[in-house]
Amino acid sequence: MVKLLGSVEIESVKPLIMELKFILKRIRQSPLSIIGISIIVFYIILAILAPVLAPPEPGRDPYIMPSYGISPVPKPPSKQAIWGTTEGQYDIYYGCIWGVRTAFRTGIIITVGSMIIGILIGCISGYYGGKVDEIMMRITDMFYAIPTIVLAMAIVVLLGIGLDNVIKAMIIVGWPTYARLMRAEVLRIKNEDYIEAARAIGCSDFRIMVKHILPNAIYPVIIMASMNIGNVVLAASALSFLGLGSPAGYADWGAMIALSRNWILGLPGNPLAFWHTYIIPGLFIFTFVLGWNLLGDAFRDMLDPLIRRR
Amino acid sequence: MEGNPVLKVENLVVRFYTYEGVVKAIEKVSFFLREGEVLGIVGETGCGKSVTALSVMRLTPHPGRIENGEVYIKTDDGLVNILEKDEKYLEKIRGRYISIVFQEPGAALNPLYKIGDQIAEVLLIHRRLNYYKRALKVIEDKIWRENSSFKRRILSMQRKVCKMLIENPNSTLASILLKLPLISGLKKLIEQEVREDVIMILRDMGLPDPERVYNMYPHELSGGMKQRAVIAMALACNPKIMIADEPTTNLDVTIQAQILQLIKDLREKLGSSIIYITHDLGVIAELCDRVAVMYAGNICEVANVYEIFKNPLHPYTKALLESIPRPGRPFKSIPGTIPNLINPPPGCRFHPRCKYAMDKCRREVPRLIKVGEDHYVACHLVRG
Repeated sequence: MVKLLGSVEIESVKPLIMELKFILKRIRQSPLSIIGISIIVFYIILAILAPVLAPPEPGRDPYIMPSYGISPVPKPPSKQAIWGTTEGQYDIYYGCIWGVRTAFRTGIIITVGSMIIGILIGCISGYYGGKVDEIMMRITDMFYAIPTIVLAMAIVVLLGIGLDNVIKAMIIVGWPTYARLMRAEVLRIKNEDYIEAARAIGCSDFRIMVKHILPNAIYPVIIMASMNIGNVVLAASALSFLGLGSPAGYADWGAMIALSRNWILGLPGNPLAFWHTYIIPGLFIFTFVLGWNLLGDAFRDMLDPLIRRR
Repeated sequence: MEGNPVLKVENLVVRFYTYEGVVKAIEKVSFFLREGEVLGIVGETGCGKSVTALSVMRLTPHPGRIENGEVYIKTDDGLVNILEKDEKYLEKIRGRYISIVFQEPGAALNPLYKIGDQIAEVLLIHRRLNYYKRALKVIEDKIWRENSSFKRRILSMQRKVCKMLIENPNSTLASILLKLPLISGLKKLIEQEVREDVIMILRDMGLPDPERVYNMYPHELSGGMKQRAVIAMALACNPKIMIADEPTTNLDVTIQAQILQLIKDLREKLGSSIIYITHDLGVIAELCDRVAVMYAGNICEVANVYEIFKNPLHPYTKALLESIPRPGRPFKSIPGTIPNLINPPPGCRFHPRCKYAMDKCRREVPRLIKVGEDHYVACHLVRG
């Protein structure tokens, strides 16, 4: 403790704690952030408690939904399957609960994967400039030129159908956004005087990139990623719905809606006969994506120095 | 005639390849810097002072290229022409033998790191080995005094890693080992050693309460304190040469005086040679031993500071001295503007603005000739 000015203690203010307090205050002020955070926290709890809420049969892959028969016609909620069954008698409740884990896995792996590739390419491209930049950015433009879902579908077909390949394909189509954002930030920061100063004290290019540019440039990318997780899950669900993702019976919301494709129109005279087969997984996808998008906004409010102090 | 130069620049030519054309920013600039002296470089904005300074460190900003010339820097292996060396070698030179202080102290500090850590970075880049050795000594000392055999085992593990680092400072294995628990104590030890040195340097810079400043971020410091921190960064490894690129231009007058005093004191204490770039002739008179006057990418006069003020020979130097505002006299400026360096005037670059311009000035480029003890002029009017 340093004492200056008589007995006033200067060092008693801890910046980290002040910062945390400020962020908490910021979150409390905006109801949408609270909703977003509570949705995601709720889903995290669901994912952790999945084996308790929907215990898998011992010895079986827990991600495969249990099936209660061979009839293709979905059954309404009953004692055995509390939210009913979908085509092939798969348990909807079980599928939705374990689907949370699948959603987190796909969303986070895809986002982190494409973020890492994007940061790497954006950093190198922005830092070195010139021909390297030109080549790398034209390649990203090529990826941009083709609609995302179509390109992802083509890649999945090329690699073979399956959830892992959907993840790979989404990473391949996802990185250009991050690369561009990162490059823009690097271009701005590499002209700052402190980069010149770092070079003047003998830092190598690698050190300047990793220690001086990256920490200054990464915030917009992180915010972007947090806002993107929802969309990525949505796109992965779409691919599953189209039959490119997980095999039938896998606990994946997109694939579950795909199973209900034939039953969306219901029976003649009763269009809502099989509502539970598509509404329930649909609600899960909807709230999950909503939660991430709201959380992304909350992150931006917390981290973006231009917006936060207003 | 040159005494014992620590820096020698010969026929330096720098050009900028822009969309509008080739900017001939520096044309055949030659000068030298003696050990322990302060060389001032004066000139108008855009005459190539800063480009010269950056080119001497081979940090020429982007569209610029060093086309020709030699830049010798005195290192432990004697004078080395750095224009022939590769980037790896330059990284070793920069910060250790030659360093630079920029104009805007706030912008030269990375906003994300503590002041102390930024200075520590310089030391860790250039003096790593030194700190590893010091850490090794401390560990060996500790091992002797340690009674518990378990702790002694940990310490000897740390000693092993430390020896690995001394043998090969870039060893990947050792840097991974440093991150492991138990061994990471060594890392803390090294950091502690560096920290002590940084605090000493900060104290030398006249910063009050250096332990506290170490943990502060750049935005928490005032302009003068920031500039002191930047100078600390530049001088951390005791470089032979320090380039100060208008370090006081953005500070107010009282702080400016303090920083100038600091530079003076440090020069005497450390014996560094300084290149001081400014457009303020008052500062030159106060601080420098010799002055080089630059105009449009050429050096037009070099002399010791008394000669420049008493006996200026080049018309541009005279005009520059006359344009210092003085009480009771009307403002006087040099008519015309600095020429466009894409198409510089032929012959002497100053002739369109020169009162004494002759026919020869339009045709021939004047060479720098010796006119007296330590006095060189590039003008057709002057004969050696």
